[in-house]
Amino acid sequence: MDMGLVWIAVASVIGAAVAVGLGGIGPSFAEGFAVKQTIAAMAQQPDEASNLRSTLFVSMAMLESCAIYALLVAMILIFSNPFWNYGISVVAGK
Amino acid sequence: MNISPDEIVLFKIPANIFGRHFYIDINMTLVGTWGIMLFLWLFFRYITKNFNSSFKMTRLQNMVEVLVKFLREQVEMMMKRKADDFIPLIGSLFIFILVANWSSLLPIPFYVNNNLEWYLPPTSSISTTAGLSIVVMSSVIVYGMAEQGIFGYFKRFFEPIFILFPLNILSEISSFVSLAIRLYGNIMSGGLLASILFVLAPLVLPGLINIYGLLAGTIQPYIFSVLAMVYISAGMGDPSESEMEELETLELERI
Repeated sequence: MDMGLVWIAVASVIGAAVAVGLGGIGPSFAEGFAVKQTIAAMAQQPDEASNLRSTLFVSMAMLESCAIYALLVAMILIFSNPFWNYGISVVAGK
Repeated sequence: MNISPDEIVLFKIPANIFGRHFYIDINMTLVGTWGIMLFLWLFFRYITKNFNSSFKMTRLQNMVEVLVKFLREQVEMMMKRKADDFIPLIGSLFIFILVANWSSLLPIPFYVNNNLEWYLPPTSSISTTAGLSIVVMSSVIVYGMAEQGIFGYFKRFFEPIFILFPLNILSEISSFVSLAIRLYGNIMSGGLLASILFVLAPLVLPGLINIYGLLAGTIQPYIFSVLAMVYISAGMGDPSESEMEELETLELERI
C-alpha cells in the first residue's frame, strides 16, 4: 500500500476523533448549564414549569446542533472523504 | 451499510428531454416521502369523513382535535398573530416531519438488484430536509412581502446600517442551512448509532437507542416548526396594534 494513502487514512481517522471529541465538550457543558438554570427556575416558580420546559427543549436542540455539525464533519472524513478518492485516483493512475 | 436513503435506488425511469437521454433515479427518499404523503392523506380523509360536533366523538377525532389545538396555541404564542394564516404551513411541516421520523421504526424490506435493503426514513436524507428548509425560506419571503410590501421587506436587510447588508444576507442564508442540517443530523445520527451498536451488542442497546431516537424524533419536528415560526414572524416585522387587539379579544372569547 502506498504511504500517501496510509497518511490520508491516519489523518482522517484522527481528524474525525478530534472533531467529535472537542466538538462534544462545548455543547455538553452548555446543555448542563442550561438544565441547571432551568431546574433552579422551576424550583423557584413551579407555575411556570411547562413554559420553561418547552423553552428548554428548543434551546437544547439548538445547542445540540453544534455537536451534530462536528459529527457530520467526522462522518464526511470517515465515509466520504474527498482526499481519499483523490489519493486512490493518483495511486491508480501511477 | 447504507447511511443515506438517497443511495438506495429502487428503480430508474428513462427520460428524454431536448434529445438528451438519461435516467431518473427513484430512490428511497422519494418513495418514502410519497408513502408518507399517501398515508397522511388517507388517514386524515378517513378521520374527517365522520366528524361530528357532539360530545360523542370517535377516539381519532379527539386525537386530531388535541393536535390541532396544540398547534394553534403554539402558533398564537410564538407569532402573536391569528393562527389561521399559518396553521396550514406550520401544521403540515410538523405532522409530516413527525410521521417521517417515527417511520424509522418500520421494518420494511426492499429487494434492490437481489440485495436486501431496509427502509430508512426520508428525513435522514439531506435532500428532504433541504427541501423543507427551502419551503420555509420561500414562505418567509412571501409572508414578509405580503405584510410589508416588497421595499418594506428588503428594508430589513439594510438595518441598522447599509454596510451590514452582506452580513444580513449571510445570516439569513446560514439560518436556513442550519435548519436543514439540524434535522438531518439528528435523525441520521440516531439511525447510524443504532446500526453501529447493533454490531457491538445486538440484543439490548439498539432497542434502547431507538427509544431515544423516538424522543429526538418527537422533539425535532417541534423545533423545526418553532424555528420556522420565529423566522416567519421576524420576516413579517412587528404586529400592528389592531392585530394585537383582535388576538386579545379572541383569547378572551375562548376563556
